[in-house]
Amino acid sequence: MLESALSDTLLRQLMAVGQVDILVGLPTLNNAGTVTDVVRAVNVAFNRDFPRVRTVMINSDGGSTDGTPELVRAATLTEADMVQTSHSLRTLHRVLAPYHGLPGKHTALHSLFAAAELTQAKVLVVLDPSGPATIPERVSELIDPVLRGETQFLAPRYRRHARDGVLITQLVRPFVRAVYGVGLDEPLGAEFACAGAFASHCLDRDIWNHEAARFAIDLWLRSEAIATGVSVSQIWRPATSGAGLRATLREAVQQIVLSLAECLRAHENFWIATTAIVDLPTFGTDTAVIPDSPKWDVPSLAGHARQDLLAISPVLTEVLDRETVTRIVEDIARDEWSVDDELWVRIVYAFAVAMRRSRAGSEDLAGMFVPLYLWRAAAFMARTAPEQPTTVQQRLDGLCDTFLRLKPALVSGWSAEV
Amino acid sequence: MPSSRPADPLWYKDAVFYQLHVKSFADSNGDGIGDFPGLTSKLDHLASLGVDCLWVQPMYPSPFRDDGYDISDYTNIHPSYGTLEQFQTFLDQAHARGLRVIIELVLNHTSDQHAWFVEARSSTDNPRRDWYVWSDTDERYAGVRIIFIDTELSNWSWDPISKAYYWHRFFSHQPDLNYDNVAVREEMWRVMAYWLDRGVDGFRVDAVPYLIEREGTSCENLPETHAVLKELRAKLDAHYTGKVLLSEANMWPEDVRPYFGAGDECHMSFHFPIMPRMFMALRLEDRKPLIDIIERTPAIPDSCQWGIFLRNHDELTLEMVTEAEREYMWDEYAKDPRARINLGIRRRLATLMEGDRRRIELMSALLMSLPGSPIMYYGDEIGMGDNVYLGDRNSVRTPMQWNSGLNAGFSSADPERLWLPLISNALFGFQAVNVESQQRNPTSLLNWTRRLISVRRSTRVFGRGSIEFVKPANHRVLAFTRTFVRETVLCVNNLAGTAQAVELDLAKFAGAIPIEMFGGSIFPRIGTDPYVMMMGPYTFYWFRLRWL
Repeated sequence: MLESALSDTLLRQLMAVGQVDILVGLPTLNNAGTVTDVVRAVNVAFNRDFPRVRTVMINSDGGSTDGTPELVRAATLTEADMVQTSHSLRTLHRVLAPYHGLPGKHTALHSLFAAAELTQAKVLVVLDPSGPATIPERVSELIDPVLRGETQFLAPRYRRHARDGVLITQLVRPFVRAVYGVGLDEPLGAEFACAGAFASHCLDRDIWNHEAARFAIDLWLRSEAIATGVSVSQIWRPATSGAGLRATLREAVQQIVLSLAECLRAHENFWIATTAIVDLPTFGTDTAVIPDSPKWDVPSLAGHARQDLLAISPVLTEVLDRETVTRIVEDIARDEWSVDDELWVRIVYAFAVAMRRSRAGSEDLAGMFVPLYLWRAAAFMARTAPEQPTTVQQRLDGLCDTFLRLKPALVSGWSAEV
Repeated sequence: MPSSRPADPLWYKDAVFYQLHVKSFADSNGDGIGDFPGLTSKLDHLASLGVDCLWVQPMYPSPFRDDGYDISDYTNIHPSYGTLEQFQTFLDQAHARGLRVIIELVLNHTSDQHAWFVEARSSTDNPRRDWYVWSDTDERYAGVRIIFIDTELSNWSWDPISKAYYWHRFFSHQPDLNYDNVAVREEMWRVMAYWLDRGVDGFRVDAVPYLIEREGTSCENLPETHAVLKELRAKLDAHYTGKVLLSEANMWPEDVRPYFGAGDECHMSFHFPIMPRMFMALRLEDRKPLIDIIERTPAIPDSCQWGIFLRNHDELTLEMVTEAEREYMWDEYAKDPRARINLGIRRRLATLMEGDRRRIELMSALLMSLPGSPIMYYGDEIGMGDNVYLGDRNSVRTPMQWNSGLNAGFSSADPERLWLPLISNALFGFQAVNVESQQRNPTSLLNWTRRLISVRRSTRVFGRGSIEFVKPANHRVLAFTRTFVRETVLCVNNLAGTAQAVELDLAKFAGAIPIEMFGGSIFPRIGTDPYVMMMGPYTFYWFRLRWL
């Protein structure tokens, strides 16, 4: 019997649910602090804003030890909630199903996508249990544009301080923007909404055990939507402490680099032919309130980077040209953190090409890349510490332009005979 | 075709065909006979039904001694049906709606009124003399069977003008063309090219087994006949793409098989014997006749397709059944002797099913799910009835019932002037059964049929997939799977008029989740134990099997 994404328990519950219009998925892992509010918000949204349509909320829990599933089961509407909502026309289905298989968000999403396919959901929304969907409006605003057919994939965008989310601003965002040709703010955002047809499409793709799905399913979903011509939009959402947060920085960098390489392989026919940048439609309202700048221990970060780079410098020539390696080594010796944009982008593209040519050694290459990223991150944080946010933002825009300008180098390196 | 539609050269494998007679469909000029402007005005109905291709029965000039299959001019339109320009408008409008159109091609014979035959018989040294098959005696090809035994005594008829016998496999007014003559073959290719250049999407090729005669043979299915078809097909492929030849050979499937050749003769052929067995299985409440005929059906080339149907413009033919089966069918489906004609039954689907909606739906579901491309007969989508008091097979050729008004909306002529009277009885008459009223009723047969077609079109397994029977112990249940590439659909049909329980051995699909295709309901996951199902009378289920 083939491995199923759906446990028998979940399947039995879905049989009772039948066809739905909206499926809200809530993947959880030890989210006891916030999950009750999110579940209540979903219920109120269903009751108040979508009383006539068929809905279901599915909690896919990864083995919480803090009582999260019990809280999901027990969450009821408060008196204040009752004031906001009319009596429900339909049965509100709340399905609890611990997922099985490989640990990780991708397994939870695989179950949710399979459930969406089975129930023929028109809209699939995946919420971040520690995200902003603690009030009904934040749930409904994700559902609405997709249900109305105004977009097929809706990704959040957050108002961040320009120095926040360095992994995103220094690598993922400008890389995706240049390579895929779309101005997508948050390629790694934990929440999204999509049309059922797109969920079915993803379910049929043979990626669920690949690195791209295991390490950064959100990145893969967005890049797949873009590459397959699905209409993608963004929606302003308030940033939360959990947005874009990863276990450890080193792990996060390594996993995302692996995922980016996997996405490049999967979508090469699309991105090689893409030259222009498309701005995505945005729903919602930008609060325009810029959060505080994050605090970083830059000397410590740089110290780790220097130490690692000295250790791997002899093998860097396998990926980078001798001139670049020499410059890196000299900078390390001078204790300088000045990785200019062009050098940084050339390093990123060189690693992308190397990972295409040496698929078996991808994990090692991603590991080699980590100290280079840390070095660049330290340089960026040090340089921008005294700067105004608008100035920093100009630097970010300039970096995006550099990624785009140098893309032909990536294309030619990628397309060259192996 | 609209440029947005992908040009799949194998489109006919997925297509739902719709057979219609121009003269019975819609009359635009009030002369009581349907015509092309009338048909054009009803294309929206056909497009909304969801069919892919229209099969237009003969529309050529003809003396109409064989319902138009006696053609007197291959490159024109019968004046009662309109003009060439009106045909072209119809064709263009059909294409604009994504509908393809195939027309009749009667290769074997012409009318004796055709100019070719008039010339041929004028003298023995006329250049067209050799376009037909002549003999000084009526003893050549002795022993060849006579097809119309009720009306013809011989396959030869005496021509008093040229004082010789001419060969005809059908009526004596339909002389056979001589396909040994290269000029005939070239002329018929010119006829085909003439219509293909106008944009038709193919031909239903009438009476293909009889093109060539040879002494000492049955003069049927001869290798030389196949050579003629191969020659025409080669020219078709050399000059056009996406066209189809649908051959008519009322024979056992193993005898029809050669008409597909190696994919280099006809793209499609009718599967005649499966049709009466669908009716027989339903009446017997036993799947055996259907499984027998499908299991004896040989494989055909990948590019080819069977054409299957429930009813058509002819009688429900019982030629491809045994004597006992024929008697059974007559006893069960034609208790009124007037319903019998030749070796068949001149009734429509709805009357054969005694108006029972459940049985009509089950038969339609079988048509849409068994291997082959389904061919619907006009009027069956609303459950039109028949009139066995009309002569020949006109019982099933009455005017289409569009609404409950004058002449059912078919024509503005005086009712007496209609080429055939309308069905007007209380059960199936146009006041009760018509398109307009069924449009307004969401649960009507018309709307149900639309849904059926749309569900069929949601997958390619029905058009292209293999079939495998499940064969549960309960013989009243016909269960089979259709599989194409990675997709499998399970079809379960209760042929009985009573509720049935059935245990299906689906172990090879263990792990799959059945999703009912009409409502999307999820059924329990298939395991290694027998899969138990409860079936209401005459119910059917189609399940998409998903491994999720």
